[in-house]
Amino acid sequence: MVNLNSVPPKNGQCYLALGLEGSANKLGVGIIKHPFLSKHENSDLSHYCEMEILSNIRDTYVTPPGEGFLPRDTARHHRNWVVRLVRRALQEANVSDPSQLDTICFTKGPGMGAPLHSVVILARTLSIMWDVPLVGVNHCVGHIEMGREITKAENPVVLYVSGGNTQVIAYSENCYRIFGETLDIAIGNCLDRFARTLKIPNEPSPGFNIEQLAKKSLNKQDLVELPYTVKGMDLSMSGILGYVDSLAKDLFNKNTKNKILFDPKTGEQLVTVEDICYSLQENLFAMLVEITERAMAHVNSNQVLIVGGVGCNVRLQEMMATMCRDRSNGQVHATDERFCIDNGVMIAQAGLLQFRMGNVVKDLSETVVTQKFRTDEVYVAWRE
Amino acid sequence: MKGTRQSDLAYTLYLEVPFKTAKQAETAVKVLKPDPILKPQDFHVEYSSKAHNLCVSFEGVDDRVLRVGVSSVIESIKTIIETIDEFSH
Amino acid sequence: MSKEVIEQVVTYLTPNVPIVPISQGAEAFVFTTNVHPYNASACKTAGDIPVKYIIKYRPPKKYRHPSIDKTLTKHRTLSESRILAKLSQVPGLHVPKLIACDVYNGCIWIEFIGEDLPESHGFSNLKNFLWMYKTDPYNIAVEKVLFKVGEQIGLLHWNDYCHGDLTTSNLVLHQENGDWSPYLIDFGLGSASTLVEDKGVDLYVLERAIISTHSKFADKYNEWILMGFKSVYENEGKKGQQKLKDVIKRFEEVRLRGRKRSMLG
Repeated sequence: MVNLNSVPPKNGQCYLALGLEGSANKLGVGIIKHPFLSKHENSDLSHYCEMEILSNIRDTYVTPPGEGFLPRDTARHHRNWVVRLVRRALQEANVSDPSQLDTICFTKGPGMGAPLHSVVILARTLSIMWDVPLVGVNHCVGHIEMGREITKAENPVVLYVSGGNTQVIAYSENCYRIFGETLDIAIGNCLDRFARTLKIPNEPSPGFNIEQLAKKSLNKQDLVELPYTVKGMDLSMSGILGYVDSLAKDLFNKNTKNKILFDPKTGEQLVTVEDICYSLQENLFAMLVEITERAMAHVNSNQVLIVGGVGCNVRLQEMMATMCRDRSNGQVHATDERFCIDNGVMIAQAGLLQFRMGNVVKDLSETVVTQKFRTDEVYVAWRE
Repeated sequence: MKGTRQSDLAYTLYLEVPFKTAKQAETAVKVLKPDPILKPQDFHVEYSSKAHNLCVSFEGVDDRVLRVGVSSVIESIKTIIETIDEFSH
Repeated sequence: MSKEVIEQVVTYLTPNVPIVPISQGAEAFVFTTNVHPYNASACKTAGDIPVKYIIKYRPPKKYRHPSIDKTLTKHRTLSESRILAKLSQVPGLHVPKLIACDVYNGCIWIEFIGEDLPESHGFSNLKNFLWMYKTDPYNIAVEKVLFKVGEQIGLLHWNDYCHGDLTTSNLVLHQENGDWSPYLIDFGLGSASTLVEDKGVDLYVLERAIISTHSKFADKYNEWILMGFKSVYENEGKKGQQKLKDVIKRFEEVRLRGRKRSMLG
């Protein structure tokens, strides 16, 4: 059994944690509270902390259509906003004396170096000023613990889909093990880059805009055939991206020699941008659901938790739910954009669990951020 | 002016940033110190505090490397100062 | 197991073919039957013991677009059947014999391989076998089996085929003269391929499957498998040595790619 109360809270009643996230183009600051309850002394209830969100603030660095976000500019954005966001988060949470916080949690990695660094500078400064210990959090574990707490899924297979990651994860022996993952680019990256080719807005997010275009497809019965590249529990997406990119370019250039897009006799256009978006989603998501189902069969699980930015795609959630209905007692858990998209609360949640197990930063040399930090490198002390 | 370290790097810069208190200057040193330099053979920084000043000495293999390095440290110092200003009362 | 799918199968097979559901994989439902699809005399052995066959059924997947589903089901059933038929001709390679296939209905009949492990350790796939030995992980029996597993994969790759989904559940152990002999099953993602990339990915996928399911002893296990794998190529003279070097090199590259991928957009 795990003792989540091994470090008691400062005020003896509840834990308070500040979470800081800035590993990509979202800057998030969140403050959460865990009540100090005797049931957590001797339990496996890390998914049931009775977390209360006191504030959850986010500011996204949005680039113009056709452009991605570069590390330097993203770091500049974070530096510009991070102090103001912390101030707002404290106000919203009604924390008048920040030295009452039990811990300050920051993203240690993985992510873009410069943005991660811009946030950790603030975290270190606050930690010294307020005399509050730091906890470095793995971004992916943050997503998982947030998802578990919000949905109360105890031991799910996790599909983690975002701009930087595509992984199928299951817990075993104090570790979130990766059963399947992308062999090249991440799903979110694939969607973002296709959005850039289409020059559609990056606001609110490129993936969301592709989802809306896909809904408008008028020819849903005839799919544009795309490569289907599942390799066991792994998958590959760069070939698919290259293929849809070239389709889109042919479409824009009115290349009537392309027989998939134009009728060879009449030159009539057969396929629209909306149709390509629809086919792309159907194809990519079918692959994701398939590898998730493979992992479920492999570890004998019937629960799925979808986390990460792409996880708020309604079509993906719907397909996952359909898959689960055909498995005995299958359940799918997902969250909405407040929690799916990178945020500070998820870092606070995973960090606070770590804190409650007594794992805090003892020397600032441990707070160096890292671009590469695999999900399976974290020792998950808070689970059985 | 060169730092305390013996070095072959030809391009150098020495900065002193005044803070309100000695404690704040020490805080800045602690915050800046942990991060390793990506190419120690091309660039080097040393942080210390003297009274209520933060002292930084830079050494770079050429002026471009020095410029880039100095600029990134100054960005961090700006965040530290803003944080201290916002939250120390 | 989903009732609806079982009903589909029963309707398709007619009551003349009684079936017993045994497992639900991600892709297919697996049943046993004592009925041979076209040879009535093959239903019993000489000793009058009923012979068991496997029926593997790929149900339509409702979550995916009907046209993707149709294409995949047909493609996988067909390619699995073709590969099984081809591989059964390769000397030394162990795969279950193909008996019949119906690609449009996603159904194949194959020979039954394997048995139940002692003391309710479950069906004799490699996963359960390794778990059975988890208190004695480095037993010589484990080493022998894993070496043979490596040999089977070596033979597969040497003959320019790839499995596409190597996991410890897709290797079934069959007892022959008191010795365990591994059989490769589940070729739904298999392909004929001369590409070192496909072979490297195959080896990487298995290595990861071993690490994630049998993490504590994974290093040794992977080492034994690789020894068996190499032995096949090394028996093929200079040409074998060269090809082995290429495959191993690519395998290491694929592994590095997975580990080193910076995980950012």
